[in-house]
Amino acid sequence: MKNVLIGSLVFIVVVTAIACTKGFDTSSTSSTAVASVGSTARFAISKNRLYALGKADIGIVDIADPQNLSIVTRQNLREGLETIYPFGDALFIGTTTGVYGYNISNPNLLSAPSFISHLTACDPVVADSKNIYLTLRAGTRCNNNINLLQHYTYTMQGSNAVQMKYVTQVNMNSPRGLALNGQNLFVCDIPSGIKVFNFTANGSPNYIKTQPLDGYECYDMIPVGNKLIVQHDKGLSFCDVTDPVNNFMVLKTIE
Amino acid sequence: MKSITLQMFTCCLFASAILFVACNRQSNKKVQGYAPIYSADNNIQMLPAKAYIMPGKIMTLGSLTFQIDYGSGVHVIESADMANAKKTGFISVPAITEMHMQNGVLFVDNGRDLVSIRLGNALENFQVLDRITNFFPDKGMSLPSGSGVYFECVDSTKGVITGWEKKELINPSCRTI
Repeated sequence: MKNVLIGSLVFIVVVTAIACTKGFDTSSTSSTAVASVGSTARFAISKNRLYALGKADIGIVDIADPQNLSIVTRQNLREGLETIYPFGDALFIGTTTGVYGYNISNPNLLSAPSFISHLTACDPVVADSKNIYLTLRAGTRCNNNINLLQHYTYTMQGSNAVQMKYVTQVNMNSPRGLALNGQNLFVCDIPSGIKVFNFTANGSPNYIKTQPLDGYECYDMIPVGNKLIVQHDKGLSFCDVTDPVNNFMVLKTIE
Repeated sequence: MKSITLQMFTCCLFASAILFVACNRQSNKKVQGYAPIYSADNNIQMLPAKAYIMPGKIMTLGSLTFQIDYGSGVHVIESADMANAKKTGFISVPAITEMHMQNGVLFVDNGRDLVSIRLGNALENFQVLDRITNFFPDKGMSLPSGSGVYFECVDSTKGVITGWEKKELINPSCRTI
């Protein structure tokens, strides 16, 4: 009788535990480790969902059980989807004609769409809690003759739409991916290398220097603390950017 | 008899090869271009480290960094000590263009499919976990990027193109506009 009681108790506890796990999002716990990817990525992961850009739509997949992937939904957007970048409950999608901002406080849906248009160009996007930085590049696929770094600000409250506002822009040569690490903004610009910026009081990029990259063509970067992993045409390089102005150090190149 | 037939065949082949070479001597030029990868190939496996062919997007998690080789797979790089980082393996994923990772599980596009792969600490733990077929139905419709790029002409009987790989081509008759 005692055993049955204990058994039932264990059963109830287990069931409750399972119910709680299902009911609550576990992505913010330390047990969930999500990879860092570059600004040109077309896959994003947030709250146990994989967001994958298609040609003109986005697929949302529940990856909580990776042995049993399940499609949550597929939303039609528009042609020319280029890159995706989540920050908290905001999700930004760079397209050839502008930036989409979405609210993903409900991770199963891209809701409250907002769109801010720019000139037609390729555009990787990065963001922090209030700024959006993106590059616009001329190219055969992107049909234009503009090469710019642009700064926008945004706000988003609760389940409301992202409110985006254009602030300023900086001329570039042929910009690719970009990376943000709190102190600096790094922008791949071909053929010169990596352009290093700090920020003005309102978060706008303030150009400091160009770091040559031994003749490699810089395509994208991932910031990891005071390190920077650089993707280039021959492979990748690991850099130390503790003091990027005086000592931008290439630690190792794999090619 | 069989052997004679074979010899005749070889001889004819040799003769036609000479003819072919002769006819094309002026224009038999080798150029770097791209060859299509067709959708039928879904063989994902863990291989030893290898050289880059067309290095692409990067990703990092914990002590590992990953780099796509467009159309062929993912280079695995041990990077706990970045100054001494080195390639340790290669995950072959035909027709790959994108990747992401959570909790040691890699998510990739393998042609038109979305696939989850557990890497594990040891090679023998490497395992394809799940696959959603045709998750990217519109993938691979485009030609190699750039203008004036040579490519091997598409043979639609081989399936649908899901990617392009670098290849030395001889007298290619297809080129992007």
